[in-house]
Amino acid sequence: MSPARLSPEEIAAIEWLALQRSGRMSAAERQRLERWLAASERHRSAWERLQRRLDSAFAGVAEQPAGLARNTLLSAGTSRRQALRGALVLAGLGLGGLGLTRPGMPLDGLVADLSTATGERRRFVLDDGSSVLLNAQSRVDVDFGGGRRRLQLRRGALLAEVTADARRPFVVETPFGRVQALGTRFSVALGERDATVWVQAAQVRVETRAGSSLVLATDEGARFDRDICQRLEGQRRSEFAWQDGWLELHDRPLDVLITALRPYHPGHLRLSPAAAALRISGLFALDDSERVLASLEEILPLRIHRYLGWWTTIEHS
Amino acid sequence: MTASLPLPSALRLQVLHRLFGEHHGWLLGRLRARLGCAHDAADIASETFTQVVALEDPGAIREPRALLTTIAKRLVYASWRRRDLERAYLEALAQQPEAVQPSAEETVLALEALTAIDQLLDGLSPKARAAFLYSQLEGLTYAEIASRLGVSVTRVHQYVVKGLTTCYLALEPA
Repeated sequence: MSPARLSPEEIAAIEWLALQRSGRMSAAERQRLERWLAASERHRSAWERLQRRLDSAFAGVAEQPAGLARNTLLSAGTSRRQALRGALVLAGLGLGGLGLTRPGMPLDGLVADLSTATGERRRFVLDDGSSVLLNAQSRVDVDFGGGRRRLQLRRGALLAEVTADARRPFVVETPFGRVQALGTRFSVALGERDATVWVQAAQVRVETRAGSSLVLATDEGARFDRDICQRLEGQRRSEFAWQDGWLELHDRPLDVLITALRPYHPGHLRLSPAAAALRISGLFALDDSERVLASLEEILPLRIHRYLGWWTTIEHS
Repeated sequence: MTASLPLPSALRLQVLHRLFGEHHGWLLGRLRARLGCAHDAADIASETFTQVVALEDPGAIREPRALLTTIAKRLVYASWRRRDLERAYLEALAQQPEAVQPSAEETVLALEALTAIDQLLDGLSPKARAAFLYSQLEGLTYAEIASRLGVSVTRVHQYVVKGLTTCYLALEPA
């Protein structure tokens, strides 16, 4: 905002208007105002401009009952938020005190060791020959130092293929707890309030932050938060089988589909609570999110709007 | 809201797409942590990127996260102001006699007008704001305003000049 400068006529016009409103303008002063206006076209147009701008700005409240607008503007003016203005902090760096370890909050450092973009699945091979397949929009930090094989899942989901090494347990850490490989193939997905594990080969041990643990075998799965770990029905496995780019749902809320679709959809995807509760079944190609959305519009009572190519809202029609 | 957006060239679109892909999730996470409400965070994040899309030369952005943070902060503050105004309006309305209760549509229009005026007065001290509004909205004399605010008449005159100046400058056509 560049510092605007008022012309001398504009300054004078403001002073005259202020005097005119005071309720104590003398007759002599009134005459001086009239002489000032008559003296030059520039004086008159400054005066008119001032009146016009004020009138148009305050026209909106002119019809309101006396005192309503004034009371509103005055009491809002003394709100606490004014005082907080200086303290509003949304620091890009220096994140102290923002609740960084809150479960489900992806603590994205500016750089994660392994990460994928929207719509991108990618396999990374690790030092020991193990590999991780990352789902779209996922981030993993790798800590393979000093007798450890530890992955920190910061966002999204991974499918790990683990080479055996008795001396170094292979562990995937999440804010909710850890998953230790006792076998060779398993996936972990991070949600807002919990994480999910599915075992494809052999076994894993899941341990929550609070200390409760569970051992899962092939084709078994569980969701866990900081406290508890709960087995999931085998049938739900297909909801988490993102690695081939397909999602199979059996009578599940639309919310589940959209959550899985988000990492594959460029831009922001918003789902209204009413729409989120609609139930859906089917096989969906995650890699073609537009087609999935188009087909949703046909089979469910939805209204889908797209704005500027950046975000899409899905509402119950 | 933004007026007309410049037509995107292919390169511009690419730049914007990358900005969005790399920073939207980050901004959303920060806002959720700060605001504690996923819905508000999503709105602010979306509006922030709308403003970025409207920029002349997105390719020239050197520190995207710093820019996004600045825009988002401004939007968060503006949204808090709107809430404060709404609450103040409803409280003031409650003190009005039954006969003048406005319709829902009138309320929306009224709040829009009040928000616009509130923005005009941004930067005025509470007393200057009060003095100016007493004069502008109710035409009180400076003697009356002076006694209400506990200041001198000369001071009231200065406040009104300040208020008129601030409004006049803020209303300068872009």
